[in-house]
Amino acid sequence: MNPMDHAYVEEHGLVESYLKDRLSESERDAFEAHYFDCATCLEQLETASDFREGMIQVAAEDAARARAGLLAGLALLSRGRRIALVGFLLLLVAFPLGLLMARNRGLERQLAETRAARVAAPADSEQRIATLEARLRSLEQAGTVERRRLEEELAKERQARTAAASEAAVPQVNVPIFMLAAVRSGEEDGRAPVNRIPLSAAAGPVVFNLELATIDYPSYRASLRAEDGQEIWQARGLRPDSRDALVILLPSRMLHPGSYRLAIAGARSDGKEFAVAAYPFQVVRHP
Amino acid sequence: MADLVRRIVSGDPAAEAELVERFSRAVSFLLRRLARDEAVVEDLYQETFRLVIEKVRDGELREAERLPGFVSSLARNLFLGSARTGGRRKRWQADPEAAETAPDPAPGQLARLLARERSAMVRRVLAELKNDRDREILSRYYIADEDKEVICRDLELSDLHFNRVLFRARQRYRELFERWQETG
Repeated sequence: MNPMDHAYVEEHGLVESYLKDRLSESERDAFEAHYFDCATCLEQLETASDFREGMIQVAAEDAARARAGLLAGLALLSRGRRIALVGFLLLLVAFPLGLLMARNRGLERQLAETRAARVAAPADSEQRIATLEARLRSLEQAGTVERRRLEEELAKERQARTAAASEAAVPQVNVPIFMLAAVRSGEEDGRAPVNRIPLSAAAGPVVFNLELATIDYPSYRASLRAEDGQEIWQARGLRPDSRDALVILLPSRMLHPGSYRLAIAGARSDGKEFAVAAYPFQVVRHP
Repeated sequence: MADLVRRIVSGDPAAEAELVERFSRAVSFLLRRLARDEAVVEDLYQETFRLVIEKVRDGELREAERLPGFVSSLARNLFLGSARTGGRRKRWQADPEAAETAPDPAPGQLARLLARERSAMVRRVLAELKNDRDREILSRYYIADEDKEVICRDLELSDLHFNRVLFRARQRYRELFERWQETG
């Protein structure tokens, strides 16, 4: 470990890089050795870390407030006004042809957003979106009638997603919670999954609690695969809670009866990922 | 540093207290970054100093000027060991009687008060910024976790300008924090 001087720390902005976990292991160790004996750097670290946490807190508060405001606003609307609002939105979709060319760009952007948000979408919805996207590309040469039809189809797809999101925003009682047991590599071969998830046909969301054996990584990636190996959901940048667990809520309609494998990988700050745990489970339906 | 190490080796209790005072803040800061549970931090803090003193006395620190790095790496290794074995939580699970004395992991009243104050101070810093672009810089850097290079390229900013925005925001936050500490 090379000794580090204060000028080097300032020049290379190590305080911020350290807080963002952007230093290599050797740089990090050297910087830790430095700030353990440098009151100025330690003070800067404390302030920057505190400010960073404050920024994240403010963003979280604002997001919660905006969500509450939107729901309250919708709740205040009478049924008639809600229908009128939907009617108005439909009129917007059917706006004159002259605007369609300009809207085409907007449509592509919407598709991009939909793709970005698809982590929570079931596989068949993703496929539909991918198909729509491919067809939209061929639309460049096609007439505006087909374009309008596709727009309507896309609007329906988005409406279905909004409905699913609204469902999640409604308080729910007795949400099934499953503590999944991890298996070590080699233990899965040829054996039925140790975790059995009995779901009724009418079940809403399902909560999975995954206790991590190690929390050595700054973030984690979760990947859910069906029996045939097809990935049906994944999320990056996950951080364990104060009990070193990842708590994941999935809509039960994503889970048809069958075997699944939920794999967790730890992501190092340099982007490399390492398998941490696997949670195979079997979904069975009961009436 | 050499004198401090020499006195610890010779068993001077005042030197041990001086060691704790000298590295207390840094050890706390590092452990809080690594472990989110305050009870774990508390355990590891005690254990770090106990081990440092023991190892220094046993002559395991060969170069006295390496003491800061010795303390920091010991604290980090203790945390990693604790995380691997599950630390306190696993012990409580194994021993239901010990679990009765386990502290509530939910943030305490003081932590909630600090969080509220911190949020209010950050809001004030943001409100005092002269333009929206500076607010955008802070949001993208701290909340969206974007890289400095990306933000600078998008907003056509120099390194210097970027650093200045961050520096001023943190400086102002520090002033507000110190004032709050004095009045609180």
